[in-house]
Amino acid sequence: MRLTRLKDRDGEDDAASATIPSRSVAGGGGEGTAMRIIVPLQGVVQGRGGLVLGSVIPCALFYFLQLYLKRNRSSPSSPPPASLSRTLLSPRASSSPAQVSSRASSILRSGESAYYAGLRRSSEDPYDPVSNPDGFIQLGLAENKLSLDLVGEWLACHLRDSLLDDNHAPFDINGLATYQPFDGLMDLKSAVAGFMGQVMQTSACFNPAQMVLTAGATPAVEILSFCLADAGNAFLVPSPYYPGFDRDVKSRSGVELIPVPCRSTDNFNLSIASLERAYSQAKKRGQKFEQNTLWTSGLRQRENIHVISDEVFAGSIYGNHEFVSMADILETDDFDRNRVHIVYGLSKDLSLPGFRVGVIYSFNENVLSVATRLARFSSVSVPIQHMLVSMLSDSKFIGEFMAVNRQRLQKMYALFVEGLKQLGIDCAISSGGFYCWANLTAERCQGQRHSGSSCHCIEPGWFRCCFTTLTEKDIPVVMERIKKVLDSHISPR
Amino acid sequence: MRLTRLKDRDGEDDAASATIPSRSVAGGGGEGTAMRIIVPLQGVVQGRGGLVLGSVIPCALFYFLQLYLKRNRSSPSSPPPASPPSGPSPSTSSGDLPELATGIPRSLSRTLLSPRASSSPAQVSSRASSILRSGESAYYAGLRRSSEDPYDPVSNPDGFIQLGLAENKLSLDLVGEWLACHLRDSLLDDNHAPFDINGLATYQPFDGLMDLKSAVAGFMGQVMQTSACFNPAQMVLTAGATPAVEILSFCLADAGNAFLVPSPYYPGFDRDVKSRSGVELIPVPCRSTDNFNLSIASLERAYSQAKKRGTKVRAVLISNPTNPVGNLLNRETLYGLLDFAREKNIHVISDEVFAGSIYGNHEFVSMADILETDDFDRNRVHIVYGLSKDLSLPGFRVGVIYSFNENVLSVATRLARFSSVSVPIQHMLVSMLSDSKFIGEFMAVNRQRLQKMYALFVEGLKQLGIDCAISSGGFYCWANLSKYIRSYSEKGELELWDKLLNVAKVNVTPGSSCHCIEPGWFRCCFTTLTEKDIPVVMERIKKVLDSHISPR
Repeated sequence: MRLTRLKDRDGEDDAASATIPSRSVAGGGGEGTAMRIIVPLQGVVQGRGGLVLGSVIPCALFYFLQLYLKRNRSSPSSPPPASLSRTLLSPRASSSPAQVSSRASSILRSGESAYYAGLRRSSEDPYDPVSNPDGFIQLGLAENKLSLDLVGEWLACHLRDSLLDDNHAPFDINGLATYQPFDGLMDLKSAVAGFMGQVMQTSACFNPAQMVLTAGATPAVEILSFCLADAGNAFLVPSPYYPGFDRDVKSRSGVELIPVPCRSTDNFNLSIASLERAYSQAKKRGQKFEQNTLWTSGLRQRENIHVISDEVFAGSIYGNHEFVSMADILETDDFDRNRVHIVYGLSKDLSLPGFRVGVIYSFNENVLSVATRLARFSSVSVPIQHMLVSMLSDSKFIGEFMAVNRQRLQKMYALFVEGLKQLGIDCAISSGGFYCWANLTAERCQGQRHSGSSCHCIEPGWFRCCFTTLTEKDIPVVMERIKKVLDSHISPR
Repeated sequence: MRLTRLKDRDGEDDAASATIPSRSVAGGGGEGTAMRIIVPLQGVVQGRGGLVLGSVIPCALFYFLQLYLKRNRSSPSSPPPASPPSGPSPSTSSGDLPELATGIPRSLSRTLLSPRASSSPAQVSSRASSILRSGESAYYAGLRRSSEDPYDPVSNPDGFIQLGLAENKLSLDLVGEWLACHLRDSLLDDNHAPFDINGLATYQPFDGLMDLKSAVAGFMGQVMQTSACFNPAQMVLTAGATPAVEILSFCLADAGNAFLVPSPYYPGFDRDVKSRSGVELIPVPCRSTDNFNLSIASLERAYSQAKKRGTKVRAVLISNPTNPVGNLLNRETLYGLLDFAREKNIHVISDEVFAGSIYGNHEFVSMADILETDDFDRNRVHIVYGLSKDLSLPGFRVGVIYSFNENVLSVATRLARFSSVSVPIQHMLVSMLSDSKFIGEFMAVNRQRLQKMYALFVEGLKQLGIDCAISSGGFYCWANLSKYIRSYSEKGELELWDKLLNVAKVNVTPGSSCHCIEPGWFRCCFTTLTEKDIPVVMERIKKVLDSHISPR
C-alpha cells in the first residue's frame, strides 16, 4: 500500500508524488487507497492521513485558480480550466465541424453595438430628397460631403495627369503597378507632412521620415496598439470616445480600453485628476500596466506610458478656438518625445475616406520601425498615392479647398445647432469635427444618431449627430422627424 | 510553534496552509521554523517534519514548470520567467529557497500589479520588440539591398539584378496601354450616370464593392479554368493577399496554435502569419527526390509530432502552384489533403495567387474545383487569391479571401476594415476586369511571354550546368546549386548567396529562407527581366560559380 508506506516516511516521498499528482493518485491500487481517492477530503477533514492528497488537492486548486484567472484575463471566452490539458494536448473530436479560433468566435459573439447597427440599417435604405424621401437620414457616420464637389472638380481636371504623367518623364506604368514600399512613397509622405503642417497651423515641421502611411486611420490605430501594448494591457481613453475604437483597438490586438469618464458639468473636458483616478483603479484591479497609453493631450512622463493623439479632425475646426497639435507642444517644450504618437488621415480633413489613407506620425524609432514592417498588412494603393501627391502639391487647390470647406462647415454647424435649439435641444460647446453632441436627457429619443452609450458616455441621454452628410435643405426634414419622436416620447420626469 | 502544531493535526491544517503557501511560510516566526524555512528540503530529505514545505515546494515547482512551458509555447521570444530555472535543482543554496517558496505568488503578482520603474524610457510592447529583434532574413536583406541600387542596362549597368521579388513585369505594357486609354472613363464616368464623386471618395463597404467582387469572381473562374462558379458573396477583398493570409490566421487559430506548411514555402509567410497573429508555422519537409511534392504521410508525421509537443494544429497552409518550387498539386494530393483535414478536423488554406501564371503543360486544379465536384466538408476550405501576380498589379493592393465558411466570412468582413482597398482603385479594376477583350488578350500574351522567359532562363542556367526542379507555374524557377556550396549546410548556402549578392550583384532567394530542408537550392524570379538581361545574369552567376566550385 503506497499511502501507508508514505505515512512512515513522510516528507521525501511526498515530494516525489506531489510533483506528479495525477500519477500518484492513479497509481494507488489497493482498497484503502481507493477509499482515500474517492473521498480524499474526508481524510483531510478528519485529520487522519491524507497528507499527500490533503496538500496536493489544495495546491492543485490554487494552481487551477491562477490558471483560470490568467486565461480569463487574456481571453474571456475560453472555457474553464478543467479542460486545460485537454485543449492543449489533444485535438477536438474529429467528427465535429470545422471551428474558427476562439478570438474569431468572440468577435462573432460580440454582436453589433447601436453604432454599427444604426450605420448598417441606415445604409440599407438611405434617404434621398427625391428618390427616397422616406429613407433613413444618416447622422451616424462622420463623413464630410460638404466640399466633395471641389474634390470632384479637381479629379475631373487632373486625374489623368496625376496618374499618367510625371512632369519629368513620359507615362510610366512601372511606378504605378509594381511593388513599392509598403509604408508609403516618400513623395506622398512629404506631401502629407506639408499638408499636416498647413492644416494644423503649427510651427512644428512634420518630418516625412517619422511617418508611416496606412490604409486609413483605423489600421494606424491598430498598428499602434500592437506596437505599444500586449494583449491584456490597457489604454486609458477619456470617454465619451469614438465608438470605433472598441473594434479598432480590441478586436485583434487584445488591448483593453478603460474609459476615463468626463462629465457634462466640465463640458466633457478631460481632467488629469480623473486620469489619475482611472489609472490607479486599473492598477488596483491588476490591470497590466506595463505599457499603457492615453488617447489624449494629458502628457505624463512619470507613469512611463505612451500618448496616442488621434488628430484626424485637426483641419475640420468650425469654432474660434485654436487647435493645438501634440506636435506643436513637443516642438516648443522639452518633453520626452519618444512616448508620443500622432494618428492622422486624409479621410476627414480632405473628405476622402474612400481613398483609405492614414498616417502614423511617431517620435519613437522603435515604433516607426515596427510600424513600417506592419504596414505590409494595410498599405495604400500606389496609383492612389500618386494621385494624392499631385493633389496635395497643388497648393492653390488645397488652400481654396480648406477655406471653402471651413466656411461650409461653420455654416452647417450653425444651422444644425440652431435647428436643435428650436426644438429645445442643447448641444455641448464644440469647436471641431463633423458632429455636435446633443443633450436629449430631458427626452429620450430614438433615431439614427448615435447614442452616447456607444461612446461609453457615463451620462445617458447624449447623442452624437453628424451634420456634414446633409445639405441645407435636409435640415428642416431632420428637425421635423426628430420633433415628431420627441413629442410622442416626452419623458415622464 | 506553528509547524509543531501542524505535525499533531496533520491533514486539515495542511489543506488550509497549502492553499496560501506564501502566508504559511511567511507566518512562521519562531526559531525552529526559521530553520525549516531556510533549509526546508533538509527536513524533507531527512524525513522529519517538512510536511507543508515538502508538498508545497514540489507543487510549486510543478506549477512553475507548467507556466514555463505555457509561456514558452505561446511566445517563444518572451524571456523565460526569472525563477523557474532554479527550480529543478533542490541543491540550490539555502538562501534561494524561501525566495522560491514565497516567490510563487509574488513574482506573478509583480508583473500583474506594478508598472515599470517610472524613470525608464518609453518602451514598446513585447510583441513589438520581438518583431524588432527578429531581424532580417536573407530574403528581406537581399530585397532591401538590391532595391537600393537597382540594375538598369543603360543608366546603372553595375546595379543589383533583382531575382528575389516575385513580380511580373513581362506584360506591364499591356496594363499600361489599357490604363492610358481607359483610366479616365473607368473612374470618372459611369455608363449610366454622369460623373459622381460620391461613389469614389466616400465610405464604402470595407470588404469591397459588390461590383468588384463579381468582376473578380469572373476573373478567377477564367484564370483557374474551372467548372466551379465563384460566388461573390463568399468573397472578402483586402489590400493585397498578405493581409488576406493574416486575417485568415486570426480567424482560424489562436496565438500559440500552429499551421502545417509544406516546405520549402514562400518566405513571406513567416511575417504574414506569425508577426501579429502569433500563430506558429510548422514546416512539413518535402524533398528533391519527390521533386518537392507534398506527401500526405509527411503531413501525418508533422501533425503527430506537433501533437506530442503539445501544439495545437489548426490548419494546413499550402501554395498552389507552390512557391518557391513552382509545381502544381494534382487532384490526388488535393483529395488526400482534404481527407487529412477532415480526419484531423483542421482547416485548409490554399494560396492560389499564381493560378493564372502557368507556363508548363500541367493542368492547374483549384481547391474550388475539387469542392465543386465532390462531397467534401467545404466549411474548412479557404482560398487566398489576389491580382498582384496574375494581373501584374501588386501596386494596386488587391487580395481576396474566398471561403466556404460563413463564420470566417463574417469575421473577415469585420476585420477587412483594417486593410481595405481604395475605392477609386476598385472602380478602375471593375472596368478593367469587365473588359473581357482586354483580359483575354492579356492572359494569352502574358502566358506566352512567361513560357518564353522561363524557357530562356532555365536554358541559360542549364548551360552553366545548373539544373532546376521541374516546375509549371509561378514567376520563378527553383535552381539546384548544391554542388557549388563549400559546406553542405545552411552556412554554405548563405555563403554562396552572399557571394551572388555582393560579388555578382544578383539577388536570389536562398532555400533556407524558404525553410527548405536541403541546402543549396535557390529561387530565381525571372519575370522582372527582359530577354536582353538574361545573358548578363548568366555571365554574373558564372563568374561567381567559377571562383566558388565546391571542393567536393
